[in-house]
Amino acid sequence: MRISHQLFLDKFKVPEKWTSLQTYKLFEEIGLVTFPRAGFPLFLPVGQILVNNVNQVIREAAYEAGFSELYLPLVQTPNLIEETGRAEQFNQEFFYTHNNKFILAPTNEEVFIDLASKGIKSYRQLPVRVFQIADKFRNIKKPKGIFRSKEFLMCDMISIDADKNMLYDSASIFEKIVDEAFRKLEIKAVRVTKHDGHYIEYLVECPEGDICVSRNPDRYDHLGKHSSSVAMYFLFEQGGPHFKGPDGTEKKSYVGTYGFGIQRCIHAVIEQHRDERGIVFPDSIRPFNSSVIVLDKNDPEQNNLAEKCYDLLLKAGAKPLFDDRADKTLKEKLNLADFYGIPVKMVIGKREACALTMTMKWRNGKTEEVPFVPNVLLDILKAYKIY
Amino acid sequence: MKFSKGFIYTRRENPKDAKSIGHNLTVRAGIAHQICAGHYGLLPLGTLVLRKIENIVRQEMNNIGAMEVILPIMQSSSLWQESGRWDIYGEEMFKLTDRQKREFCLGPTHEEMMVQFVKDHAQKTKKFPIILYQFGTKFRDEKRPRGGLLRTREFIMKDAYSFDYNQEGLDESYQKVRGAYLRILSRIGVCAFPIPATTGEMGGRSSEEFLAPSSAGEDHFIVLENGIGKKLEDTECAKYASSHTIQTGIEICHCFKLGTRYSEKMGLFTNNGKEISPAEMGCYGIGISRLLPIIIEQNHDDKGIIWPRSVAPFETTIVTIQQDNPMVSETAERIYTQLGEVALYDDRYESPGVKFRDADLIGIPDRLIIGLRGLDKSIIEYERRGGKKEEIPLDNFMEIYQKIKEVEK
Repeated sequence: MRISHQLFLDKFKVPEKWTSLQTYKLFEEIGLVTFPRAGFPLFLPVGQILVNNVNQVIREAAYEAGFSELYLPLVQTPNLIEETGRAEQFNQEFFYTHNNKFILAPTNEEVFIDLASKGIKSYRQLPVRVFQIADKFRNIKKPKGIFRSKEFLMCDMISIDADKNMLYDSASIFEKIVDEAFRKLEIKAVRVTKHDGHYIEYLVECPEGDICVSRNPDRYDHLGKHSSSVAMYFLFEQGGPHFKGPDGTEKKSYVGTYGFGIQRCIHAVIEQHRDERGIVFPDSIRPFNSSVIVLDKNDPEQNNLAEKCYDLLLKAGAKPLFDDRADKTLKEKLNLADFYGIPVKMVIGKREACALTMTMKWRNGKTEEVPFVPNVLLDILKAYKIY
Repeated sequence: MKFSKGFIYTRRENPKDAKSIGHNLTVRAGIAHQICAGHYGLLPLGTLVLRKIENIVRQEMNNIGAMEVILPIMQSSSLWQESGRWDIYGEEMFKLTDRQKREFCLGPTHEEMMVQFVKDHAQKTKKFPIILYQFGTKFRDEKRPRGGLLRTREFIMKDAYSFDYNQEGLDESYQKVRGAYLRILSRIGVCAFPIPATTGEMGGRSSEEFLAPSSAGEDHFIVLENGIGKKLEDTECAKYASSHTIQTGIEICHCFKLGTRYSEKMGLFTNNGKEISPAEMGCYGIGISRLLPIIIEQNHDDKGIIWPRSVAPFETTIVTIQQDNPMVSETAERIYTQLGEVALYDDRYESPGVKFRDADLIGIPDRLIIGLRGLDKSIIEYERRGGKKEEIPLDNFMEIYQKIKEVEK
């Protein structure tokens, strides 16, 4: 990505009082997200890359565990969720369209179970395990940052199981998906059990606090006062469609519902990966893996070498950020790369351009000058797992 | 993916309301399912195709230097009042109200919000041109949703917007996006003709729509001697009937040179150092969910879908004959594990007839047939959708199979 072609990055400054800045404020400050209206996030290019990367981590873990992906409509007719009585649980948080014909999906279990009841006939089809990554809508009172918004991205999953054992199997598979996703995202969460093990939440510390904290203070023993749920599941020993068992009798299936808050995961990753210079993104979702810094863009020799280097890294898949800004000092450029947790910077100035070398500055402090020989360069980067 | 647990439901009978083959096969092959009138859910096979299309589109858009963003679906009425379109859209817009009694709509398109965004975040500091794009769900309360995924009230679109200093800049950005769209369509196996069109409620200077030949199309067009498409009004059809083949087509992309229609009203200005002028804007949409039935329309035979490899939900389907025989199921399981996520394994206890019919209907490019007859000879049958059968020895199956795949590439 070339910064000169970018929105926001081109005028980037490390936020003042960075170390004491609360994470939820940071998102706007550094141009990951903006809110055209309170509660409605708009993801800018770097924020969008994070969303895509987190989606991909969760999607891969879900596919790997045998879940299939769906994409259900974002609106639904109100009758399904009103029938199940869950409408009240949401405490008037539904968005109804003007003619009351539709609600914007606050959740999708009812729609999916209704859909499944049309297709599931035999025990041989069970378990059915599906997921989707899509927007959800809730007309909440006090939106805050990306972890409490009115329109939000969620990965919701559902299992339809033949009996209790299968349901618990599905739950343990979901737990493995959570473990795998959180291992890759490097999120530390505490697993909290409620309702005899039927309701599980994965909580992370969240100094900005969450509105539900005061409601159920006992739930957060392990965490102190402020926390936010990043993943959860709920097991219902009822409620699923009917199917024919092996002996031909009609049986009722069990349902498990599971979910990740994608935006909350992003929030948690950043909350947990800040250091004094910036955000040390985990490998799995880091927006940029390398940075090419040209000292004087208007010097053709420097610029040519930098272009070659950028092209090489781009083709190798090293996710390079090309800092081709003409109006910034070297220090400002190094600071930006450090802020986004980029492990290595390739600095090209007059000396390097003459000698056909580049100065590799690692975020951990090491500096070395290496000749610009593509294979040598790529070998070094490969050894450090940059691509 | 295992067929039995994959939430794949095929149908023998034609859906009653399906008038086109694209609609018919979308439903019968378990690609999409109507949840309520005009609102479709994509089932696992359809979602896999969607992801493949998305990746191709993303690659081509990034290659022209466009930036991906995600805009909210709910948009406040005040934005639309600024551009003067709140009333123009009328009944077609889904409207709603929040707790504070403020009016919103579900975005039917995103010109207003994009202009506001660029105005807030790029106007002062950014050098133009800028090309932004997003994948998102759009809403239009069509009176008569029809044609399955072709005309829905809720659909997935990839919309792009360009902003330039002047008309020459816009022309350049326009050509870039147009070129990307032509490459995308060719990569996903869709034939379409860019045809000059009217700008309608969008406004602006000129526009082109890309019409894909389709039996479900409601627009008539001809291809002139120089290869350029020309749209025909109903009254013109008779005039060209004897000299040209009149085709019906459906719009899959629409590119607009909007000019300054929105930037002037909403106050988005550019400054190139010499003069300050309203941004020259372009907007460009591809109907992503609509592409599914179009790809099917253009790639099928009388038995079902023939997915182009670039967007096929799976590369290979493993079909067992006699699933209840342990030798068959164990071999299939082993091959399935080796192939991994590129394979759909039909592990159902159904008759070979049912399984082959479903395989044809779903249209995965390659098929591996595992049955006792083959296993007796230590072979697996390999067949391309609609092509010849080959025998692959079981002993070093993976090696030979991979060689075949490489040759095909």
